[in-house]
Amino acid sequence: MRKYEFVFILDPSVDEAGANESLERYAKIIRDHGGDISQQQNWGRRRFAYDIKKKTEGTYLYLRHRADTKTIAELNRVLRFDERVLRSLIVLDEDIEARNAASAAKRQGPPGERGPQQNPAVV
Amino acid sequence: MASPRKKKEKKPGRKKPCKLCMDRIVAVDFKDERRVRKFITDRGKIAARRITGTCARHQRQLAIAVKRARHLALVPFVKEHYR
Repeated sequence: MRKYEFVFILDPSVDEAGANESLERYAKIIRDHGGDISQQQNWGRRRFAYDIKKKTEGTYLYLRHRADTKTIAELNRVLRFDERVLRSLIVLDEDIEARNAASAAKRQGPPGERGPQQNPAVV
Repeated sequence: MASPRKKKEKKPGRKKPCKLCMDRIVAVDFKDERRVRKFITDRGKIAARRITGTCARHQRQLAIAVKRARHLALVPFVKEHYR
């Protein structure tokens, strides 16, 4: 079991209820395969930096979880058949925000002439 | 001996500080769009280390973060016409 970060983008025609439903569906797949979810977020609708399938925006959904490699393979398979999903990304979770926050807290002051930085967490 | 033809010799100059080190960043996050955007050119390319002064370690992390952010359309691959 390893920790993963999983982001996927839904077609803009899907409404918010549909998006949350879809998020829950993928969370269920992970749980059914023995994984567990530590974070589940709806980032909401965002404009794309470039068009994807002629769409200019989409709903971003985020899951942080633990899963087996088999589960990831299954997720990727399901994602491929889900036509509402425009994009997806599954990468190993390296606890980046937590590590950055810890480092910022530990070493306030010099040589950080810029003072406290904005938290890297984007939500 | 500096050759007389060369008008300007490149001075070693002071090394630019790595912004990410200054901000005490341990790992660059692809989700941090605002930060990632600071390290791409107006064309959407990943900015060179000699331009930004980023240290080797952070530049490596940055390259991965930019590519992930591009995949999710948080950041452009190219910007042909800018507004």
